[in-house]
Amino acid sequence: MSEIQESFNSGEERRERSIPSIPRGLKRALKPEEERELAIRAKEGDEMARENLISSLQPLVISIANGICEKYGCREEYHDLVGEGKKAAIKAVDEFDPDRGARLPTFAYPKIKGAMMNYLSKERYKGIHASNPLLRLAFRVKEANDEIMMMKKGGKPTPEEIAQYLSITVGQVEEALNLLATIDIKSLDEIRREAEEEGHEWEPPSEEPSPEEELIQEEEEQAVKEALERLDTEDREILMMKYWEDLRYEEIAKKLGITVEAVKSRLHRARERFKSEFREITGAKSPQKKRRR
Amino acid sequence: MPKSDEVERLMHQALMAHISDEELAEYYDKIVNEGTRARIEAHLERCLICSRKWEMMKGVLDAYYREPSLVHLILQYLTQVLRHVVTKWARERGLQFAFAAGAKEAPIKAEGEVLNGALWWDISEDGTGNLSVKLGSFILELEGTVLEVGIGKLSKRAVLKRVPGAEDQVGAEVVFTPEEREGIAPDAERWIEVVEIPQSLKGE
Repeated sequence: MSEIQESFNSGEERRERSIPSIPRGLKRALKPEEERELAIRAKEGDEMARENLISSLQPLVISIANGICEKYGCREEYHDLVGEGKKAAIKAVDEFDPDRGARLPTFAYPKIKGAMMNYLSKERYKGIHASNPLLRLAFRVKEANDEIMMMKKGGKPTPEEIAQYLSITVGQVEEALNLLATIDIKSLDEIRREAEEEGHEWEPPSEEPSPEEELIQEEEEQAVKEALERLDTEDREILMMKYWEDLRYEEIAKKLGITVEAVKSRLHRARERFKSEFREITGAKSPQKKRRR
Repeated sequence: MPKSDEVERLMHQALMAHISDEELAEYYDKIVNEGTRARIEAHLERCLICSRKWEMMKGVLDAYYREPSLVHLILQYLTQVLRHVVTKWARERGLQFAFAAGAKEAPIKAEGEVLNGALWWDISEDGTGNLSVKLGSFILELEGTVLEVGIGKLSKRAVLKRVPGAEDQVGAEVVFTPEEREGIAPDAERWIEVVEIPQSLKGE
């Protein structure tokens, strides 16, 4: 028997140890109706249906782990990441409600990615977060992104603009963006806060809002979202054109095929309705003075 | 009660708020209401960070719904893992790599497995200086997959085939002799790529 043949044959042991969790022959995603049926059966206690749903997510787990490892070069942690992803996938299957209209893989994606990134940040950044240059860089890039967003009329900041703003290279910006694309941005704030609480120096952005201000800001953001959702399409549309797309009255008029006067009138009405909804949601609390984000 | 200029501030504030992964997932599935959809789209138009996050999510999910074959992903992963293993080995034992037959150093061996042994590898350098890279798998669908193993400018291809005497496995082996490796720098890059997948796995 050749050496290679011996090697392959010794794989018998490997197979005996292996858990038959590889969905052999799985070549396609479950169809929505199959997924729904399995989810309903799983909720009723059908263990096989639950196992099938979990198996169907395995390619997604591997795909997310591949993407994260590609960005971070974390192949040594790969097995652990896949393990964390599998646990999150099981949790997602158990929490999945087929009546909400979401697909299971989409529903599971944030949970799987979140679990992997939690693991990775614990493994890599715990204890060294305050001195970790990539994290600090990511935080600065996030701040620069937000600042430029505030200043820029239309379009997103480019990596070049951020690089120039921070006097760093585009490569450094891209590195930070890779990190920012995979983590929950709020967790970055938490890591920084923890670092500061532990006495590590972390250059804070100027005029940083206090936790109380942040809370009020979040409540306001939520109220705006709700108020907008309560408006009818016409009101919402014109407010978004004016304040989110930064369109001039003439541009809005052209887009809607109405006169400039009609735009002003419609905008006035939309503002009034928005204010009324906002007031109702916030219980007529006065909005805070303008704060820097 | 918000004044008119406060409407502008509040609207702007809402626009600036970053989008959570959960919101993006619901947006992907088109189960958000009209207002949320508009806000997400307006924010993505303006925020580089969230738009990158969205691209990543969309890329992964689109690929999954289009072709969620575990086999493809394993091929992708196999490439990554083996490249890492070989590179790591080269980094740690770089000087030994160039050793000729009869070297006194202990033979080099690196082995590992992934996915509970569904894929495994064995890289070794024997006492005669032959560097052997063996790959095996129980995933028979991989039969016919062409791999390329390289060290610097030197490279060899191997096809995953059924293993005689172990018909439930596919495997391949590439051997680099000391003569072939002559002139290759000890720190030359090692790499393994999947260069072709079997027709049966394409377009499914």
